[in-house]
Amino acid sequence: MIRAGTAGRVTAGLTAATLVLAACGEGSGSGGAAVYRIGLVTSSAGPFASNAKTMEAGAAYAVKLLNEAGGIGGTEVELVKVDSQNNPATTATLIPQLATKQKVLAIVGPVDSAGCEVACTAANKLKVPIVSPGAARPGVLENARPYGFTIAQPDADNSTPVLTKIVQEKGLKRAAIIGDEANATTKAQADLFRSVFGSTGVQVVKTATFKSGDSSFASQVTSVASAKPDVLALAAGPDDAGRIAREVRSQGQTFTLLGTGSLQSGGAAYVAAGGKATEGTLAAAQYDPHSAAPAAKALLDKAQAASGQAEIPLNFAYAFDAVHMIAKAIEEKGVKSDSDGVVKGRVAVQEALNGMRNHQGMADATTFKDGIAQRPQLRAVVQNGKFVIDKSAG
Amino acid sequence: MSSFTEAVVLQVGISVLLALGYWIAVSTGKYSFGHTAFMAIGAYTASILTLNFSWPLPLAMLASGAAAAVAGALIGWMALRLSMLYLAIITFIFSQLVNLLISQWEYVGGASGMIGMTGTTVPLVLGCVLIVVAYLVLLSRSRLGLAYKAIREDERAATASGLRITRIAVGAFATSAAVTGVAGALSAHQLMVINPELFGPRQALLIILYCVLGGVEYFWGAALGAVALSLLPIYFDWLNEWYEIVYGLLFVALMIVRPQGLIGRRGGGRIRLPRIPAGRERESVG
Amino acid sequence: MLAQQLFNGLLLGATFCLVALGFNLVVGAMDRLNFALGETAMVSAVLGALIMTETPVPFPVAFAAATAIGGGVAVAVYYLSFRFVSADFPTASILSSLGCGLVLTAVVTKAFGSHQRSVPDVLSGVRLDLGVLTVSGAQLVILLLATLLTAGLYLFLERTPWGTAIRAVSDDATMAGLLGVPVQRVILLTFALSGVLAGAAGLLTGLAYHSISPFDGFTTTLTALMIIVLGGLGSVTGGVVAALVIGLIQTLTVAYLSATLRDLIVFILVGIVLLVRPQGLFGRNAGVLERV
Repeated sequence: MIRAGTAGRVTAGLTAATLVLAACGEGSGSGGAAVYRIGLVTSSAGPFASNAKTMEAGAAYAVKLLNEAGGIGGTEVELVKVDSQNNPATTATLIPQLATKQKVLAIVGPVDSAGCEVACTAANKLKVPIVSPGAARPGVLENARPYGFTIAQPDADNSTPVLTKIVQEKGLKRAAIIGDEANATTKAQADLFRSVFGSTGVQVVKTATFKSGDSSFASQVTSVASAKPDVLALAAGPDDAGRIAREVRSQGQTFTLLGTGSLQSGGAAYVAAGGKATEGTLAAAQYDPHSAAPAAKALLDKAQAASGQAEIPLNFAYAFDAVHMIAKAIEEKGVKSDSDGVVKGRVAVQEALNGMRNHQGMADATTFKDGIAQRPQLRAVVQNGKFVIDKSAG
Repeated sequence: MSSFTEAVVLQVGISVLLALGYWIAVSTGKYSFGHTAFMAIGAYTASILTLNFSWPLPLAMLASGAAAAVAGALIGWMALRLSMLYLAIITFIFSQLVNLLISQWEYVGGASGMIGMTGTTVPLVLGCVLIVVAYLVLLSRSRLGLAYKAIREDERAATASGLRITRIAVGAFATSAAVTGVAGALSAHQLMVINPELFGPRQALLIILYCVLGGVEYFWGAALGAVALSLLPIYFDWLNEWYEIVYGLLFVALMIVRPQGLIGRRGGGRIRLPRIPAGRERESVG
Repeated sequence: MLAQQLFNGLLLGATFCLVALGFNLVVGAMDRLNFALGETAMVSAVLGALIMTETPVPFPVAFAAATAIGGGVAVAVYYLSFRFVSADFPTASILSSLGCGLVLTAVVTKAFGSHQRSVPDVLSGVRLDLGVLTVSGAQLVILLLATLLTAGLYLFLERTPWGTAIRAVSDDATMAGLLGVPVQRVILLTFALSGVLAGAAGLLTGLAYHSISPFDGFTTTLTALMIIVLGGLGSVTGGVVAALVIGLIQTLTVAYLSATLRDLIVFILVGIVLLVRPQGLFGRNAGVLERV
């Protein structure tokens, strides 16, 4: 009897404590200070921790530049950072926290597709504009429109023309594909390669599979090598692709390696993982860290000087552009910075982002089409230990 | 109630459900390492029913509970008579199998999963928690609750006392799976997104941690663990990059100071057998 | 191609073997599972790779350093998760060592980032062409070191007083203690030894995979667990045979079926063995299984 009574009391106590804690959080929200708040969803845990850090640096740098130039119409911008710890349940709580407690006008992040799927869907439900600087899994915004945006374009749309051209120019005849069938992103990449090879009449002589992140590639590469292809298509994340390259070369194979845009998007990761074995790898690309476009070049040079990096990573540039596009939207619509106008402000920002054409930023021109950025279609090759955009190929 | 408060209550409520569901299995001394399988079964069953057949969520939750219970009974029947490590491995393999099947099944979106489920509300979640708590309060006063405890303490003695331990343990496991399945359904309709990744070993571990942090002796210990662990990342986000390190060290420290969890008596409520605990003996000799 | 694939499998099995033996030693000594062993291997491999890339020291030195780091980490885990954690609660040490694993992963991610870390090749110029199969220099090194360590461990356990003491504690700690074996020190030695094996396994796996990820730890632990359950808890021969069997199965599944099925086939095999022969393929008794 006594025990059950205690149980009841403890349960009641717990419920009360939860509610009080939650309510406390609510009370301590934003004061009346006139700033534009932009949320940032990072993750310090999990395989995208490094990308998230790059994104954070890009967003922080963008806000710094904005404020140094006097903010938006004289009002400062504040970045409100939350950390999802790579946990979907936490993400689902952090988005409402940013929306109601911090009263942000818009959110930047998360950098990965899995995180964006949860965060963008939640933000859309609360009618808060959210821009992911990296989510490129097909259908990631399916349930996040009209408030969800991603600056990274899925490979299928961005890479197909470039890859088709590469295959034709190189006169490739026999192809092998290696991919992870249990991962939505790499599966889409494998499908993309299949359609490119199908349309160009290349024979797919071998399809090998792996599991992301945890395997030796000796077995797959042995199988692939025995089919004697001219080209091996890498439907893999940059880290895994780098290891595949190492294994291919260490088995003494010389066939060409071909990647989609995500190989180059990973920045240095592919080459860092694959070392010398990656030399000569061809890939599609959607971002040029040494762009010649005047607007991009000026921003990239400045960022290089400020950050001390010789090459600005994709996530940095995309996060930078995300912040600036949001700022531009705020300015365009004359959104007020007081907390009463925040709901109307979000609608305005969403409308402006959806209507924005050819935003000239650090990552060249960006236009959203149904929330997905239409990116330049570039061609990259690994030369002297890094991806170089092959400008001659157009 | 603002959407933030709502989200916190939903998250905590679902975690508490997961912890309570797991506790039912643990109360008979059976640790599963694959409870995410039941969560996945519940989440996918409910999502298919609400999305493709336009069932109302509460009805879909009942169905998902039933589906998970059937799976739980099946696995329980196969594995419950075995020792702890055995059960851990069999349940883990089962969860991997379920995960593989859903990631290969195009009808439920394969590796990309399903998207667009809504309908989890605060009253629904709290209602479920209340029902489970009421059941557990009744259980802890009933003969069945006593039987669970007897099995946990000493299976042989329980058998000798005339308890049909397999049947009772399988029943407990199925009930546990059902609650976990319902929690999975609620979680799917809160996140609005499900994919096989969400039901991996990480989530399985989290459910176990809820239960063991609070202590497995009383069910409210498990509930407390769930509340604590789901609020930690929200209110301790100022720890930032140190969060995971602090989190890990917390467990290390806790297991030295209170190996029985936050709630519970030293000795885990076990009846001390005449056998001298191995650790003590070693200390005196070494 | 089959010969080459069988060789690949053998190589994979050889690296699995080391960490599984480390796991097994601890189970023998304490009847408890050290779930941080995979992370121990990961940390050793990351630091070993760092030594290889950042300093001019030759590979053997880096390898020795990795084993020493592994031993050190394992001893630290022993003090944190086993020495002062009550044995009355079977879950306490499991959770505590999982916590240690979490901390190790988080520290490595914080210090070196979440990307995979490239492990440089050794003897990259060497290629042996044996007709049906070719063996690279790195593969030769892996096979050689793994065989040496396994044989060394076997001899140590069978032929030296300390090895005999480890086996005695594994059989019956109380009795061994009564007969004058310094049980605590033997357990400490066992942990250090398991860490050395894990450290070696980590760096050799890194060589075989060409890189090491901070998130490899859990998979390593899981594979090791499957191996010792298959081979029989506490059995050295069983561990070696099971490691090779699982290495071969994984490789052949990937080569002829699909990588998606790889782990599942291993799991199902282990499940069946558990149901038919609970003590594992080479287990002397099911008693250890009951106690864990």
